[in-house]
Amino acid sequence: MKKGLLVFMSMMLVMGVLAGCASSKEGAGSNAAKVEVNKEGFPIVDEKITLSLFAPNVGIAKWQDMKYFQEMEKRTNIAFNFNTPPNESFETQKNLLFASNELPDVFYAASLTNSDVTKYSEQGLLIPLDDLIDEYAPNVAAMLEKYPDIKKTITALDGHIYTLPTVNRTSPPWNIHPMWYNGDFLAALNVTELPTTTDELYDLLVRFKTEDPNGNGLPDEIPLTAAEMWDINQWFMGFFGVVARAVGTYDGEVKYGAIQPEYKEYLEYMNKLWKADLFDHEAFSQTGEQKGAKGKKNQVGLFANWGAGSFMGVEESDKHPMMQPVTGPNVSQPVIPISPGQSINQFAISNTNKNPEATMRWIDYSYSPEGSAFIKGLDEGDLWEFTDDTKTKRINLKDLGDKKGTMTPEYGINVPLWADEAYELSFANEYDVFVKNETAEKIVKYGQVAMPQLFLTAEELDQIAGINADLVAYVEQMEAKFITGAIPFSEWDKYVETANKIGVDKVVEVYQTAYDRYAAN
Amino acid sequence: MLLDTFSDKVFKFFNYTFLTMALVVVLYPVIFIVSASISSPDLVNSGEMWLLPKGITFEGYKMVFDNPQIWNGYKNTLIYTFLGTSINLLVTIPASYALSRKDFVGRGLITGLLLVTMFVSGGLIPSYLLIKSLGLIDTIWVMILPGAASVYNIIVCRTFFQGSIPGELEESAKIDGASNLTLFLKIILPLSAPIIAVMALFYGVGHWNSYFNALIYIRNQDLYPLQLVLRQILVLQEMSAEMTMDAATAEAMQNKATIADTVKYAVIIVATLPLIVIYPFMQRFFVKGVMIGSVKG
Repeated sequence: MKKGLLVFMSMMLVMGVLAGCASSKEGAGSNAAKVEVNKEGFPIVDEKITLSLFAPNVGIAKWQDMKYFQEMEKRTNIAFNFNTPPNESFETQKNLLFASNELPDVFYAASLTNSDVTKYSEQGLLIPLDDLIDEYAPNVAAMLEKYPDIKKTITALDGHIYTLPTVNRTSPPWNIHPMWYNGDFLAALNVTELPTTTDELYDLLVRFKTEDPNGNGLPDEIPLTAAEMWDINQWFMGFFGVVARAVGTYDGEVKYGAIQPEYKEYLEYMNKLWKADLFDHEAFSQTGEQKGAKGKKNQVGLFANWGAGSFMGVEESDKHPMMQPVTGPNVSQPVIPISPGQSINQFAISNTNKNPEATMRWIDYSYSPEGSAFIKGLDEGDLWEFTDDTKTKRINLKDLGDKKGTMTPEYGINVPLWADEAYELSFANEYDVFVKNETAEKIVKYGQVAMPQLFLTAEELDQIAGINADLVAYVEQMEAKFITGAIPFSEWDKYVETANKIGVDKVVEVYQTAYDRYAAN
Repeated sequence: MLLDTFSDKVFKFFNYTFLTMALVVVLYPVIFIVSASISSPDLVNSGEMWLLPKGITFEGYKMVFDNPQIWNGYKNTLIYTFLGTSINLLVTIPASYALSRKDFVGRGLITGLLLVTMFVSGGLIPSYLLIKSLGLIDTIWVMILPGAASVYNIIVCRTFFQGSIPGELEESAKIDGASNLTLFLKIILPLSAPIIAVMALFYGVGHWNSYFNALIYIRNQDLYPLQLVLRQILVLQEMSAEMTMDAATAEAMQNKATIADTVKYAVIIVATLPLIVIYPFMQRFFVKGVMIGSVKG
């Protein structure tokens, strides 16, 4: 008995020691004392400081190995301890940090929600940035001055700014990937004028189906495909005048798209395409890859993707035109939702940060022309080169693959910066110009931001918590059922009634109040 | 030799039919994945490849073998599996033997307390706080210590000891002057090979497949186990209509989708092969061990 006890005790002891070793490693976070900040130029601080930074990792490289951070450390004298959980589990990790009060000094590319910002700023966990911006961030201040709508959007309900956004007003303001026609199909059918009404579109889709535009002698053409409805529904709803399936603004009035009569027209139209077998019957079950496989086999006439070429497995070119939005019978003009041009809440400083001034100066660099160019492309020869000695045009190096992701965090996530127009345009090639023109002609012309990014009060959030998720799930389910004909349109009134019961009114009311508050500022 | 009666024949017919169906259902996904891993992803996605490989390419395997993260993950998983399983056994076997002894005072109470933990757990955030206070965050021990003893396995083991080792054996050993430790090491352990093998398999598979602890508690990418590395390659960020992004982000995501498409099946094979190889060797213990534990208990 004694021996047994001895063995057991020694085992426990060993384990205790192991655990002890481990714990001595903890506390490697930042705890640099406050240091003097240089107000201009580099380095930002004379004495090196280390801050802790929390950001999502897309899984290509460790952040401490990235050239961007190594260079920035040399220039600014600010180093970081990185906590970068995988992008897919970032949300969970973020909530754990707040729950365990283990805050990093800096939230970077963290995509906080507006309700996060409201909640944690009230608790004092995030610090207000307004004064810091005025004093230490001339580039951020210039940006806010240039775009008052951004300032309006990022100002929290208490009148302070707690986070900085990623701003890009140069790239095409797509809210989602646009839709493209298969140019080969159009050429085979001698179509020179793109359809402008929903009826003309229907006729064209019928021709795609029946006239064998891919010329293989088989009736294997799929006129219109999608991988779930979100893939294409922003466009098709827009043809009938619905700007969003959920809350959207119509001349200052907030409406819930999915219960409007115009939305019913959209469903009926999609149902018509479905019944005529013009809309891919695998649309609700296939994955993006399966959809892509059909594109590469040259079977699809009309589809949504970031580029037509990458969908069809060929070089991008101006051969494939962007879809011309068509007009429904009861509207004068379609409406296409566009991106507000910024991704909010990508940068915040927590109350544990002992050097908020230095941090602010550090991030301000990403909002300057040379700073945003540096984080996007680093130095010449890393990812791009000048095309000639005038050094005005840049071109990406060949066969980069994922190389960018090993050098800078600006890959696959929205990092806080203000994209510099001159830098962006210096890359523009023929295809980019084509896309830009197509976007101006076919999206921006009809474009509207469905709903500005609004701050809700804690009370308002409580009111609609739960309702929103239920509503979206119900509407989405019914959208599929109406389109596939699983439920006849005689059930429409019942559907609207159920949606109202779940709480459409409440949601609309809350958003109307918040929108009015936003508009009044 | 007796001829089969009619009813025997009917029975056999259905028996073979059902077994064949079961075999097809189980075997098809395995063959599909093996074939898909060496087929061109486009043909797999378009559904043209459904049984035998088409458009054979080893690009997927090449990418897997060229990826240093996967190898590092492999190494980590091997460490976690061997070290973790050893500690699991070191804890489980003595604990369950002690609980199986009728002369162990308070064993009912201790068993009861253990059982409670099967039904009530702390939840994610309290667990996180505990692990954090123990200083285990971002160390390999977080992969090994928190689940060192599984109550379910302790109960299975205890039942085995109670059922298959006769009390007389213990008595006679004691009369011959064996202490408890001698009894455990010299008599009980040699008789328990089947249950030890079964436990090693249970725990080993658990460690091999586990990723959740790593997901929550490990930050240093050098410590990621294989499954987490695979998850990072395969799980594509969910795109939604509400998401706004610029061209660079879209391009990165499309790149990732293409890579995931190519390596998906190769990665599945590489990650499960070791278990598939080990399993037949452990299986004889497995069947015997569980039978002894349950039937005679």
